[in-house]
Amino acid sequence: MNSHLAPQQMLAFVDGELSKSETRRAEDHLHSCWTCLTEVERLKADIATILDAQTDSFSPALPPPPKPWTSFEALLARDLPAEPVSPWARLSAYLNAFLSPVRVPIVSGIVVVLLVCAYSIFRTKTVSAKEVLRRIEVADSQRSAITKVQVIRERVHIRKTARGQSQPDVSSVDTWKSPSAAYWNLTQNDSAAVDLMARYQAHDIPAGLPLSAASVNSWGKAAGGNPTVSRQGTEMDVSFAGAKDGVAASVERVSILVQPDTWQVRQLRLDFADVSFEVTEDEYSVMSTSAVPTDLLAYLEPEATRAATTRPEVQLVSAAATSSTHLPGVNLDKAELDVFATLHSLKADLGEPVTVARSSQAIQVGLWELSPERQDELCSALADKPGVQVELAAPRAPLRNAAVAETMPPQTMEGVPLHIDVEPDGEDQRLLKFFGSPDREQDFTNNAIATSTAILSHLYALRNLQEQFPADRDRLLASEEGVRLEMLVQDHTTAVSTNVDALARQLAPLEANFSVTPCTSSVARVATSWQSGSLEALQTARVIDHELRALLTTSQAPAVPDSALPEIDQNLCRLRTELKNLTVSAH
Amino acid sequence: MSDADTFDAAIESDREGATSANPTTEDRVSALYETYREEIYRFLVGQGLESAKAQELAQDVFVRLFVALTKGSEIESEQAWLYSVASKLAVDYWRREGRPMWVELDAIPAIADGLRAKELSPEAAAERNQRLRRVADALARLPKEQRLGIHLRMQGLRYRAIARILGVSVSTTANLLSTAVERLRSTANE
Repeated sequence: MNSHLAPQQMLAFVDGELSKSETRRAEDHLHSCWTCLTEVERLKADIATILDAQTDSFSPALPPPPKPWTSFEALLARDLPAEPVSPWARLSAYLNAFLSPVRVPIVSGIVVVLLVCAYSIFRTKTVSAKEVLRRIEVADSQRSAITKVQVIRERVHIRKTARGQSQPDVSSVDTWKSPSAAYWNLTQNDSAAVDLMARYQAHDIPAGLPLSAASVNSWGKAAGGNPTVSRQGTEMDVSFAGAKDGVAASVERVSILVQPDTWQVRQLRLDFADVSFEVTEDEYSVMSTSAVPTDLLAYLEPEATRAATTRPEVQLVSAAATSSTHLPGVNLDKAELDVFATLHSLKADLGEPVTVARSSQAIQVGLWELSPERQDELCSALADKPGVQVELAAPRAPLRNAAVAETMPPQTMEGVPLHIDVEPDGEDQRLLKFFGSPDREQDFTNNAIATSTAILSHLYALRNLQEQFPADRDRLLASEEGVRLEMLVQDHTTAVSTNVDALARQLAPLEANFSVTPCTSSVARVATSWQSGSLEALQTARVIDHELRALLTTSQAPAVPDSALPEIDQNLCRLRTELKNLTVSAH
Repeated sequence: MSDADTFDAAIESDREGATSANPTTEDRVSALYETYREEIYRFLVGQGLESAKAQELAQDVFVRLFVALTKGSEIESEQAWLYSVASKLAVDYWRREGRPMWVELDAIPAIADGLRAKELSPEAAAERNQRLRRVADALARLPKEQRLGIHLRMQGLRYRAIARILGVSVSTTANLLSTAVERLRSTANE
């Protein structure tokens, strides 16, 4: 997110009145923007002042009642206060007086005509599945219209669930498209994404963005059958029910969730005989080619890459780097670990838009979309380090070797009409009863989500480390560098463990209230290396975070405490075991 | 049967079913009346109603609660119900009056003996006191819908509930609350 939170969004966020997706976007923004984070704290402090002013100044200054209070018994003994007659009562009385036996047929006729008119108006507003698909195509062609110097990045969240298993496999993948090519930024660790791409290829789905109109239409054709449309909350669901032939690779059902206000595809669900995928759009942005990593651009737009190399767009800060890009004699392992240790000491490896990449000649650190103060702080810390280049723009690093921080600039919220989800009438009120007041519930939610986010931040940092130092490279490190890497891993693991314990403590009263038997032990596969262990722990932490948000925040598919709390408890137990295994494998 | 007859019958039936362990609805509402009448009165005066009118309506709110309970209405939180009904009465009153309704405050008392003030140095306590007076004064001068929205939010009502009382959309409520909070904040930080 580039833009700061508007005052109304900030208040709605503090009040817990944003929709789940808006809340997530606001939280993402707050993780990367100290200005807004500070402003949120100021807002909370000012709200406290307003409450104090109400209690200490406003209320005591109101005039006292002019007369002594009448006893309640005396009040009841008085005449019944004149209650206003309700509009329904008035209507009923009027109809009784108006509907004489002669008038009944005439009124009935008018009512029938009105009903027919209403039906015909309603009918013309019905949209067929084919019409929805057509509108998706039109909206997509408008949204994906780019110039030669632009590319589209669509970040999708992929959730793969094998039949008969409850634990999903999740990935988050950046996919890119230029006017002439498309690219999915996959690593071997994104098994869900790798499998999904294989299915796209096996079904000859056009190479492009995973949720483009062309892709979803092709999936519909692959499933076959006539599409049907139905309402899913505020969204429309277009489904293709294919033939269930039991063949693992054939798609049985395709379901597309569409936002009717924009006609954009929000989610694609693919059901195969052996597995199902949910592909959800997390972010969609049109970027200038100058902001795209060089090797990716070389693949997407070779012409643009050649042009870009002639333009000095990246501002290099390191003195060593500005003088030359050839740095003989520099130990790049040492330099890289030095960079990670420095970023870690400044907590810049916990979700800030900072990238670290290694070329054949230098370690390139990209600092982008940071506040000037933070940029200066990190630049000073990294300046004069041999073999390190600091770039104050979008990363220009070899993509597959780049450790890209999780926080990417999400879609702007400013200027967009605020959408506020309201709780349905039938909502489970037991949590509110447990907490006693919405404010206390909100405080609890904020604390629990903050702890869960801290767990994820450290596990993402570990993921970035394992991408830079995979097991085969880790083994080749000199002993000094090996020790430094181990210290970094240990540090993050300890931080995760501390936060897992904190989250368990936070949830304990709630679990006791809902009679959840605490999990005492869990079996988790012993990881062969800290690299694979940290990825498994990250996956478990993502599941916990998802369950917590479904339970505690506004959600279109809210979870109930009876089922969510035992699952969270089990997963916390599992995460503890995975962390123990991770500690063992790191030695 | 007239409304008055229904009302009398409700009281009679209510008293017949009472035991020492199971108090009557009248006892229950009477206890609530003793506890909350001053609070509801202040809430209504805080919405710009004249004190005599506010006292009359505050009493009315409890009689309405009694009638609702004897008719079998399921009320989850009596306190929230009292504030909602008082708010609706205030909104009806505004509509009849049809004019801006600022709150007339008596001399705002100093907070010399407050716990927080005790913890502060004399200068800091005086500064805080002044700040709270400024905010209280700004609260009294807020447009009536914004003031009611802020007071209902202070009572823990969610945006949707406030929107229902004010008869506006949830988005309008969010906008109204944000405007009010920003106004109070700017006064607090002057």
